[in-house]
Amino acid sequence: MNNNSTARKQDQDQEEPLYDPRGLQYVEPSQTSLQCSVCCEYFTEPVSAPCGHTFCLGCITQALEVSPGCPLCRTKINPNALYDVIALSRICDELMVYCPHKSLGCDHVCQRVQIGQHLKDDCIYIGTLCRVEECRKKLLKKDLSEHMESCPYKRVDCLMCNTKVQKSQLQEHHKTCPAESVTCPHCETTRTRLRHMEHIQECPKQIVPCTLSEFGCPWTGPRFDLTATHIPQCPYEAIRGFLEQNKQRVESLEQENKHLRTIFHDLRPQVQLLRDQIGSLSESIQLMTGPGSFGDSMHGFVDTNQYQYHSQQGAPSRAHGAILGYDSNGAENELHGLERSGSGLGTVGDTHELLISENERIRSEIETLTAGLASLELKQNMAIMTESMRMQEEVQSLRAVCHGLRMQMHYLLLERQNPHGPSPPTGGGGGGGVSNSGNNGPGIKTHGPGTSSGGRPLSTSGPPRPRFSDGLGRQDTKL
Amino acid sequence: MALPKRIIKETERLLADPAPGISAIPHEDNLRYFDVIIEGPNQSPFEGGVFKLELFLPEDYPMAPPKVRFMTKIYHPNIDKLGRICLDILKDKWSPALQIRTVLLSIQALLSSPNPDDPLANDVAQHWKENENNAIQTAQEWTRKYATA
Ligand SMILES: [Zn+2]
Ligand SMILES: [Zn+2]
Ligand SMILES: [Zn+2]
Ligand SMILES: [Zn+2]
Ligand SMILES: [Zn+2]
Ligand SMILES: [Zn+2]
Ligand SMILES: [Zn+2]
Repeated sequence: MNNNSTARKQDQDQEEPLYDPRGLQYVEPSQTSLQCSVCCEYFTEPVSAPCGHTFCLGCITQALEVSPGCPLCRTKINPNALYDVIALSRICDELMVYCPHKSLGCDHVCQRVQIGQHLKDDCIYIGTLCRVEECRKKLLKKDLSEHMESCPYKRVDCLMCNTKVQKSQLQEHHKTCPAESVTCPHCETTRTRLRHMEHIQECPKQIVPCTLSEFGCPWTGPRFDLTATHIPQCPYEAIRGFLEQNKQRVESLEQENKHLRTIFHDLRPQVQLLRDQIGSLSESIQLMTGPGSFGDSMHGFVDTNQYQYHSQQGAPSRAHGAILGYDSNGAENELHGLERSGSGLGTVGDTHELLISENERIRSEIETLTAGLASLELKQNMAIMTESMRMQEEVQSLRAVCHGLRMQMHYLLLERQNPHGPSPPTGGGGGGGVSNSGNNGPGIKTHGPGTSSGGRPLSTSGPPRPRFSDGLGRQDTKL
Repeated sequence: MALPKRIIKETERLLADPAPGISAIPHEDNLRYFDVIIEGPNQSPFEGGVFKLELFLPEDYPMAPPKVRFMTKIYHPNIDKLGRICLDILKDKWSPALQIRTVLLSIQALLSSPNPDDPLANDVAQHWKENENNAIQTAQEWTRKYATA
């Protein structure tokens, strides 16, 4: 777009200022009577002032802007009083002038009035631009046709394939032209490039490797020899079925290997997490039960568990060590090392075996890991359960003690309030407390309602009681 | 800006057909700047003297007058110590129909007929009015002293 518009503008520029009328060279330059006394040139659009003096319209207009008098006689001139001098104008227009491109070589001479026409239509020394959009080279009109012959941007027909090609790129085009004839470097027959592309796929003389070269056949030779003589006696051809099967298996094993490795990677953080959890759990249990009791046994339990878990494994010692210490880098290195050695091995069998054993190993590792995880989880659950049972029992007995104490408190309070009242059923209260705790034994849930029902027979007694029971209720929820 | 054709024409004529006693040569690097030499006219106090002037054509020449200045010291009522010339056509009486040649001829004429009534150098004009002979003598002395090549 931009280029186009500038190009168009250049075109205009080139046509607009065809020449400077004040710069014309006259054949007879010194007829001073026909010259303006301001510009010292032959008149251009001569006008006369009332004083009788004549100037170019442009010259006198400019002069009057500076000073209002006639440049020759100083009479004041009103610009509106100037009038054209048609006869003089015609005389001046008929003066003979040289073409402005005389210095470039145009020796055209014509009347001044015709010079515009000459420049527009005839002058071949005028500047112009190459017509080809990509080129737009500046040159003289006379050189245009010559340039068009050789313009590097001009499009020419490729005589072979009949497409249009930039002249400068023709040479390059011939290297890829589909119609260009090409000689096969192998069999030295000639055909078009297009056909050659097909031919080279089946040229009987092209040197090709054995079709089983990927399995290790070192044979190379001309294509016609391959099927005719080599394939029938190629040792690899005989076990082709086996080789291909093997290849497939190796591929699927490689894939499985990859898959297992990702699983292994995924499991590692889980194991670590569980380990941490067990560690913190045993710590908290130790804290809860105090030193020496359950915590130690739990530790011991975890330790033995770990020990067993490790000794269970029949996996290779290196892998074992890696898992034992969670030496992830080691395990990874090992895997990579195996992979590398696998690809480095020359024969299929070795790779294959290695892959299988590697595979098996990883699988068994993962299996043991999963089993270990499961048993760890189970043991953890059991430990928690036993511990919580024990705790529950403890809580229960504490609660029973508490209840007994409360009953005693009750009794004491009541006694204090009416020292002469009927003696409270001490045994009954104590029995109620005991039976209550006995009822509550199986579950903490029923404990709350049990208390309130236990308190009901005393509800008729004094005002302090509700506060008291409130306090107890709160204590209960705390437990 | 390209040199107007008129200046080229005037220069060509000044070089090809110089006015008697006057030479004006443009600088090679600035064709609007001229080194001018005017010989002191016969029968004038400046006879025998060779006076150097500089002339410059401003951008709007010929709509504006050229700027001219004496470089040689001269004892003249219409020329001051700095060489500035009191001449109407170089100021308000300028016309685009005038040319370098006519300007230089006018200056030459001013040397022949000093005009102490329209002075630029007041002390010289005073001297000229009070004792013309004595003033002319001084002018002749200055011419000998400063304007002999
Ligand atoms: Zn004019
Ligand atoms: Zn006039
Ligand atoms: Zn021409
Ligand atoms: Zn071109
Ligand atoms: Zn082609
Ligand atoms: Zn071939
Ligand atoms: Zn083979």
